[in-house]
Amino acid sequence: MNRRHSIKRSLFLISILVIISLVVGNLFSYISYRKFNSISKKVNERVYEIKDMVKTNSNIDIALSNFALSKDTSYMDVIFNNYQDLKSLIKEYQNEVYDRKSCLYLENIEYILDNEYYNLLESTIWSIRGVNEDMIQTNYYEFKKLSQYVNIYFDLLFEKELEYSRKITLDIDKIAAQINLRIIVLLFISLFFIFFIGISYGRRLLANLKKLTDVAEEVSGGNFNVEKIELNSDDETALLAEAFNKLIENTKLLIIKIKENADFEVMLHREESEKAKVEVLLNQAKLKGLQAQINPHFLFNTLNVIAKTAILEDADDTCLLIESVSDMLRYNLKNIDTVITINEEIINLQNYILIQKARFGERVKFEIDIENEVLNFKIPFLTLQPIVENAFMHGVEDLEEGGIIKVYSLNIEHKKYLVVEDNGNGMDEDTINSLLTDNTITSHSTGIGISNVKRRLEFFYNSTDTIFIESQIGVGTKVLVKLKENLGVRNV
Amino acid sequence: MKNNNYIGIVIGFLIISFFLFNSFQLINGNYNDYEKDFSKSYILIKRESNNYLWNNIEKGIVDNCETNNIAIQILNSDNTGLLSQKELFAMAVAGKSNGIIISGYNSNEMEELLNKAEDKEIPIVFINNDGTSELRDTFIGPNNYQIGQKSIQEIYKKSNEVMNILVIDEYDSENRNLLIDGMISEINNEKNINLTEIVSMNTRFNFENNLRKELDLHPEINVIIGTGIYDGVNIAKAIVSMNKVGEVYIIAYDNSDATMEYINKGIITATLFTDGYLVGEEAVNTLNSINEDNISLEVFYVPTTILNKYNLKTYLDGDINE
Repeated sequence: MNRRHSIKRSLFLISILVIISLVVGNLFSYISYRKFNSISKKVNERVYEIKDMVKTNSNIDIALSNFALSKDTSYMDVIFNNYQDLKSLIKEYQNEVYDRKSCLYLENIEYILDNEYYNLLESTIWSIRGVNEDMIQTNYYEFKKLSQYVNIYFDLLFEKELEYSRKITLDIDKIAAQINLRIIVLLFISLFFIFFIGISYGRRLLANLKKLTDVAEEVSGGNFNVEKIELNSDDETALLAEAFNKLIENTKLLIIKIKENADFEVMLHREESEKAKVEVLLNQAKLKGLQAQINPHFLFNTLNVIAKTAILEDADDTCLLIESVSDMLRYNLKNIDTVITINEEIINLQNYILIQKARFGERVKFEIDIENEVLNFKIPFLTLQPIVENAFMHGVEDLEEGGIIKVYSLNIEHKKYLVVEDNGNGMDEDTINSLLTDNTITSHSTGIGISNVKRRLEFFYNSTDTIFIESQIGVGTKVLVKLKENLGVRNV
Repeated sequence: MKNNNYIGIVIGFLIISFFLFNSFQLINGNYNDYEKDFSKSYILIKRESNNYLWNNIEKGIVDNCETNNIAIQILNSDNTGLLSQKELFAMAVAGKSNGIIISGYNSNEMEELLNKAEDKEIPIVFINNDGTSELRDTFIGPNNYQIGQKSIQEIYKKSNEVMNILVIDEYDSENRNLLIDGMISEINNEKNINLTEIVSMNTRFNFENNLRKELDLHPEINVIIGTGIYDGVNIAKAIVSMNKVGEVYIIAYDNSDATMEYINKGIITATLFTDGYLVGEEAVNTLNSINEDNISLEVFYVPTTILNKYNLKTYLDGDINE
């Protein structure tokens, strides 16, 4: 990914800024040096030019003097050539004049050379050629004076040049000092900005890295509920943050999935455990059944013989009783994991009641009142009998008279309940809890306790709210079995 | 943060650009102070190069020329290989100018050079000293005769006692002659004032001894007047040294700091002078008038300032010009 503000690019930019600052500073210094050097050179050249002019003027004087002495006309050429040279030198110099006074001195020199100087030069030459000694002397004296004035103007010019040179040196020193200061200031400003950019960038980078490390620490501590990292940058740290955010997000999703799987496994495990428990209960019941199945044919045959004997002896009640016992035993020998209708349970219950009536006589009354609709509801095998037996054992068994056990159906908030109610001694909370949880408390007739019934109902309905016991000491006990339609029930 | 960086970079760039631009301007600055478009060019021939009066004159001339964009060349014996006034004048006349300012003197050469200047239509203004020549255009300077008169008036204002005056006059010059003439004319009008003696004396070398001798010879002298520019201060020094302060009145003709100090102490009685700056300024004005309107006054006397102990402070505060 090409990032606009990558760290590499930023460092490169800062390096370029440093290099540019140094290059500009040095370039600046070099340009100043070149400029000042050229000015100094010009000043020096002008000083030499003045010397040349003075020398040329002296050459004219010397040539004129020699001409006066020798009368050699070749000196005339020397004189006029030097004169022309002097004029040319002045013209050249004039182009470089920088100062008002220098200009005036030059103008004066030029004016004198063009007028009086030239006239006197000519007059002197003519007087030399005419061999007029008086005139030679007068003109030459005048010319010498004028030549001296010209030299004085050159001296003034020279002095001015020196003055200018001194001034320019001071100016250059001053400007050079200013320029040096500027270069230093420029470098400092550049360094300041580079420092500012560097610090600012570094701080941002460190802040971003701190955010990342903070979040990394949180995550490494197991806290994945961290805020998404938002970085105010466009460099590699932003890339890192994006990757980190994605990593956290993916890890979170993974954790949720693992959690879900774990929950599911726990649930499965629990279900299996429940199933195993039910199986244990069933096995217990089966064992009881098997224990009771000791040669059942022999028992039933014996009971039939007894029943027939009873008929022969006109003991009908005994016959009925034996038949009821036989039917109940046959019923109880059914497979424990069988699902049956409430109607079948009631029929079996009636056998049981008949036997109990033979035992308790008028001390206990039984009332059964089940809605027809409820009779078809399916429940696990041997659900009612253990509950009713419990009503005998913990309820009405000790009553001298007036014991009533009611078995009826009930509607509470559109839910169907099968109720076994007695008016016996009632139970305290501990006894109720023991009944519901303790496997060892079993009925005499079936060997199955209420806790067993409860577990099987829970598994059967796949629900925990199956049996409720309401009891009051001295008043009685009411056991409610919550019924469900036959939908969604599981085979026990 | 990112925006701050951009603002910083832009500001930095602007500052650096400004510095660069400004510094390049500085490097490429104009090192020449030459201006070709001056309107005229004058020559000042200074009589004395290291004299505060002539320095003031020069300053008046230079300032006025600067104001009017006039070029001025200053020639004096120091910067011309000790040429004389006459030679300097000849050199100036030989050159090119629109006017020459010089202290006047009398000589045949001066007449010739004045003629030559006239031929070349170069106006000549005499300053400070006037000559007898009528060829110069204008004289600008003090009215020495009047100053002489006023000097005596300053003395008799002081006391009614008899005043016996010693005049010290080193050089014989037109100016000093006029000054003394003015004094004499005033002395002649007063009964109690006598001119005891006019002596030629150098006040700079062995002056105290010479003055002592003079005072021993004329013990009645109670007024000493030195006509030279430094004479007032030198007389005052000698009087202090001779312990005669309060016994002698001293008149000076300059406005140097030392003179002011002695006036303040009551050692010098009074000083009479013309402001050199005004002389210089007026010289340039006069040359301008001649060049531009061909008009000139023959003589322009610059007002005289008289200072004594009573008006010195006011003068120093800048409230007195005349």
